[in-house]
Amino acid sequence: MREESIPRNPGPVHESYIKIQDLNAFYGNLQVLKNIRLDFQEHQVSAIMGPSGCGKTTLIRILNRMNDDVPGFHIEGNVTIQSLDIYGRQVDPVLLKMRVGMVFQSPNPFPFSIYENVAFGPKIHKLFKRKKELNRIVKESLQRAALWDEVKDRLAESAMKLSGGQQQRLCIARALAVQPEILLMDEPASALDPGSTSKIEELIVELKQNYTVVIVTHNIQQAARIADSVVFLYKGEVVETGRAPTFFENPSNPMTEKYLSGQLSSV
Amino acid sequence: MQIESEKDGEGPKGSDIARKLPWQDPRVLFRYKLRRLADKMVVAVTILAVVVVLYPLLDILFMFFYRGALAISIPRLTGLTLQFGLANAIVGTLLLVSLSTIIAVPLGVLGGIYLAEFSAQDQMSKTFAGTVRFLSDVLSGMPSILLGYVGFLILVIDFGWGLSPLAGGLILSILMLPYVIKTTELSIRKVPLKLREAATALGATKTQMVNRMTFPLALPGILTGIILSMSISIGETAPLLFTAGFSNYYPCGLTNCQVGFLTYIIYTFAKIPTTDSLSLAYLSAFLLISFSLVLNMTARIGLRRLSKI
Repeated sequence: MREESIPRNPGPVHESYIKIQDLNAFYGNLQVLKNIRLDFQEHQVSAIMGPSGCGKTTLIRILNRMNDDVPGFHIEGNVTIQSLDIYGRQVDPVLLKMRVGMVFQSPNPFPFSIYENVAFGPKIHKLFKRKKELNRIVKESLQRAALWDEVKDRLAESAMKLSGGQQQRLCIARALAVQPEILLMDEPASALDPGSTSKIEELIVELKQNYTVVIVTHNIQQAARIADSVVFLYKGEVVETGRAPTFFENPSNPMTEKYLSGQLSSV
Repeated sequence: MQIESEKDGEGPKGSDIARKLPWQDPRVLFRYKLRRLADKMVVAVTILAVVVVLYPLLDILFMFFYRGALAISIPRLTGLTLQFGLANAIVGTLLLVSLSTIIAVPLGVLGGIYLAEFSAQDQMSKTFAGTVRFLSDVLSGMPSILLGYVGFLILVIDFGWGLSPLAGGLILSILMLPYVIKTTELSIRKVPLKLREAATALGATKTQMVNRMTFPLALPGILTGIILSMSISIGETAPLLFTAGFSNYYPCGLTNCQVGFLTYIIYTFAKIPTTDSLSLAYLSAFLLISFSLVLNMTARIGLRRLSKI
């Protein structure tokens, strides 16, 4: 729970889709994020990069309040999505998660059938009246996640039988089935082989037409391939932000340069 | 392995000795042989311990199966105790176990779900849950005859239920509760965090997560616990002497009606040195062990296969 409530700044609508202002985050007494100020634009892929332990995962989990249940975790500052303060009193964290979906580092399908995995979200939110509508949602979600052709004949099979890359695309389909606006991805390809990785990357670039994507990665080449804008975090602080090509070709901060050339070890 | 040993007298400054590696040093090798010997001795001792435990167990099982199988006969299985039969005791035991299961399962499963899923929300519920866990552990270590006596005082006398299936079943259910609670809690906790996070990230409430994911995934484990606790309650005698009494006839009602059960037959007839009495006791033991084996094997083989996590 946030203690002081910062007055909401209406500002021009859609100025930036996600806006983070003076964010500090703590696990107990340990401060993991310091004075973060960031903007993420609609229908773009924004990548958060940095060495292990720099706070990337904490930052992305703040955006859909996944850390609410972590004991001792608290934040100061302001996070808004379309000018809505997501840590404000009127925001229900469960409803927020309907708007902000998440894909995790290692594929985590439920040990149910492929169909039931995608249907999980629509079922808990009662997003359909007839079974036919649910079938349509499942099909569309799988199509958007570029998995439909591979699984359409075996929807009743256990999701655990899929390969790692397929499982991860299933998790993306499962998140899309709730029809979110924002998709958070926490190193979605780091546990996958190169082939599956490039499929996921293609998919992410496609997804930005319909969704706003925020992705954590520590793969520099991957960020260069898919991101529109990049944030470089180091020891809980934003070192540099920039548009994708410039950031990689011409970083303004010497620290970023060191990181990009692989000379910056983890914290 | 044969390793060429260096001659001791040869000049210590010799470059050969100076370069000697640990695996070429006879002292290191000697110590290794000692460790290897100790290793083998530990294995031998543990195997011996297993044999010491298993031999009597197998001996007992064999004796009861052999003598019990010899005692099988239609009149003994279908007659009342009066006619040296077990029918009323079989029905009584099944009735007592069913009653205790019906009472213990909902309470124990819901309690276990609470402890696993809903007890970490604030400091007060954490303290409460800790207390419940502690008391449940104490209960599982409590001598069952004490529970029987408590049941006698409260249920049989104060409530006026008399020696009856309900009093016996309720006391048995209290014996089962700690096992059901514990296995439910442990099975639910075994559902990995990454699946919980997946459900949370899809916007599931805690209750939806339990209903649609954690509970179904934990169900095989929970059923295993229930079945094992049933096999414990089938074998109880002491608390039932205080609460169920004994009857030579079929059960006649839930209260104020004594009920027969198989362990009582063993307790009574094994002490009477006539062929008929001993056969009845052996058959009763045979049935109890068979029930218990079937339940255990269902739990261990059948349900493990259903498990998805």
